[in-house]
Amino acid sequence: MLIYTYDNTLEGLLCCIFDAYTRNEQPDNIACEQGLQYQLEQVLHPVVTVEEHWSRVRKGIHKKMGRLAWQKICACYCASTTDKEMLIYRYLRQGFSRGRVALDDISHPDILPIEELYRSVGMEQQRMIMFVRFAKVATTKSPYSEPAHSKLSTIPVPSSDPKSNSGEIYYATINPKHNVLPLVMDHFAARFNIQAFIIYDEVHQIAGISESGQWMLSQVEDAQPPEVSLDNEEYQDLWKAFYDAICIPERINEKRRQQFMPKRLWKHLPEMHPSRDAKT
Amino acid sequence: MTNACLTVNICLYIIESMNIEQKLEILTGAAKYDAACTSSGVNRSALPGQLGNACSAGICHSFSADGRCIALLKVLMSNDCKYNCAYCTNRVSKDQSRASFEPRELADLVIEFYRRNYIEGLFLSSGVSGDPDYATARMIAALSILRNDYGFNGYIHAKGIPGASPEIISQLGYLVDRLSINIEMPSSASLQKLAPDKNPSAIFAPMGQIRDSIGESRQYLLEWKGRRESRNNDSGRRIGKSDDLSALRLAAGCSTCEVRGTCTGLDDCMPAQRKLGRPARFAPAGQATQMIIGASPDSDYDILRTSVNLYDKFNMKRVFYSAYVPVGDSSLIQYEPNGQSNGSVQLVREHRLYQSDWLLRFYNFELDELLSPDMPHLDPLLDPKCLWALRNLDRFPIEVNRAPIEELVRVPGIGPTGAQKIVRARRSGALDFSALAALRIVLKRAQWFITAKGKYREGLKFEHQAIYQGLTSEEARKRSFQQARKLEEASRQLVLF
Repeated sequence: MLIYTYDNTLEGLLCCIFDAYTRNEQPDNIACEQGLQYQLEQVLHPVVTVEEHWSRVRKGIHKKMGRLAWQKICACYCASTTDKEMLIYRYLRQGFSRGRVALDDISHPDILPIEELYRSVGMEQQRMIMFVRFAKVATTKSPYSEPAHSKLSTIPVPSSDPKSNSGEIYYATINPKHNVLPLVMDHFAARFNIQAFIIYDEVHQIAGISESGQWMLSQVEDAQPPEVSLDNEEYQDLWKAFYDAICIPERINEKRRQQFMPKRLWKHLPEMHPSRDAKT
Repeated sequence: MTNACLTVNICLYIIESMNIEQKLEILTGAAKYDAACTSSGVNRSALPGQLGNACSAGICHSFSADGRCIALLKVLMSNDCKYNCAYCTNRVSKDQSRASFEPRELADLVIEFYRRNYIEGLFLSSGVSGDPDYATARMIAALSILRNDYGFNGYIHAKGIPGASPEIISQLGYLVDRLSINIEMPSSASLQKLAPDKNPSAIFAPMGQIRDSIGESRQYLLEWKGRRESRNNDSGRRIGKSDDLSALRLAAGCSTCEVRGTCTGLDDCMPAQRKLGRPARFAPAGQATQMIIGASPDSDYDILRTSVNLYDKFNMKRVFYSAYVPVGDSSLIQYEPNGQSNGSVQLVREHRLYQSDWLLRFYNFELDELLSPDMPHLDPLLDPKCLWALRNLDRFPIEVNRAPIEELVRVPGIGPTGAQKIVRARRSGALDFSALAALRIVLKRAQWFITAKGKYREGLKFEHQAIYQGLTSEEARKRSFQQARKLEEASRQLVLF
């Protein structure tokens, strides 16, 4: 059994494709270097990430399969399924050997899984655009200087914008199924270019940090959410009041609500939390 | 005398002590029956230094317990209303709390919600306590704080108030993305009966004005783009500002100047647009409208004929149907005109109307293919496409591997997406039923109307009776279960008393 190992980056995965072609091999599996379980009768080939290699593969994808196929691969790479590498590998094999015609053959066993994965990642991306909820972080207790939040200091907190007198930071925690944060940062960075913000993905332990329309990602382990400022509670209550008032009781439809807004995401939606009055 | 004084004092006290949360609850409850609340129809990219953008497909941000999408902060400016429309929760004869937002209070709320990604923008309508112009002016005050003072670049949908003057409607149009006037009732007879204070011409006149203004503004933008391009080609220089602005003012019919007397042209109306140096646009996401379903005896045919007219005459982006929810005790309201009721609220009927509306707009169906004066009602057990297919069985079954896409989208259960998938996939080889299933084509309804590789689905009979039963059995079972449960509940209540 031939196993390719790579460095867990998209570039690394593209180099696996490059090696498979140049070495004229068909790997049985592609796995991440870290956490690989050694088994008997395994032949390992550690793939080295070389810019010349992956850029050639990328160029080839654009040329033979088009921009949309490249987009699909990037999105599928963000999926949290364990066999995504092999699915992408087989998809690209089809694309390289048969061109665009192969990609339209959407009931083919090598093409269909990527189509479905792309859909699933796209849905999750859309959900994050819908359901990210920011809280305004206290400005007096900056998470950057507070030793109690020392872990969070690994996130390079954006310096407050000197031009704006506010100096506030907006903070959100998300728990997406797939690692879609890289796919939604463009949207949020453009829309909220007047506010510094952090979106922390607690599942994949990655933070997106943005200021003035620019953004970057940072790997962060177990970030503690910073303290929220007081008026935030007020606006969460107002939002919940609105949410409860907009419902028409004669039309209640719990199934439909959960279909669009799955329960696993309610954790970070203030409108789904029990109201503060009920708690006290 | 002291008694009256006391009452007045208490009332004043209550009004003054109303906090923003109470206002928000009252003014949301007053707006919640307006179904027209999408954030779609316009793409506007973000601008550096400004909050927000707009996305043409629309983005929902939450879903309420009734399963409806929450995209916009949907509120009324005020629920104080002098009209007495029988179907409306805010009518003057109804005894309930009244409240009004202050323009800045509302604008601040929108900004704070938007920055937390709660909403996509604002949906604003208003009751009419005095002059329609005054009610609209208060809406404009809030919107201009949002657009001008706060540079808000997100989505705004406003309702025009029938009876407002054209100048003030025009002013509103340049602040919003979508501007709608509700038609309320499917026929003018029903409108006259249920809303005696409103007349059809006061509804159609502003609809026409909005249509024309949208057209003119679009045309002007095209010409402006052409001029800019030719000028750039001529000299490579930026647009001269002075003459352009006066032209813009003329073309846009900016009435701000007359109203406020301080306007310096379009600069004041739309700073977001000024930054780009392009003319302001009038309601770029078009206009929409809403009809209340089930409060009047109008048939489905009447309703859809009105919709077709609205789409044709006023270039409506959407007609919304809102199942009437009993909001009072008016004896004028007529329920269950055709026994299609589902409880007291005609949700199934609303759903069938939306399905037909989609068929008319995206599937190239004509109204007389679906309904006629002799058959004026949609079937609660069958969706309108199934209904049509059953009446036209001679066109079926069609072969999925050969049928053109226009025929595929007419198969019940196959929509534009499914048809696209079939057309894409069959290029690489003929499809059978298992291949269709692999493409995630829903075969529950489609299986009765297609052949794959020349074969009809095994175990099915292509015969009117069998198809009708196959299509309706599940729905009927669900229905009878619900009815049984309702009977059971009713009998339990009887026992109680």
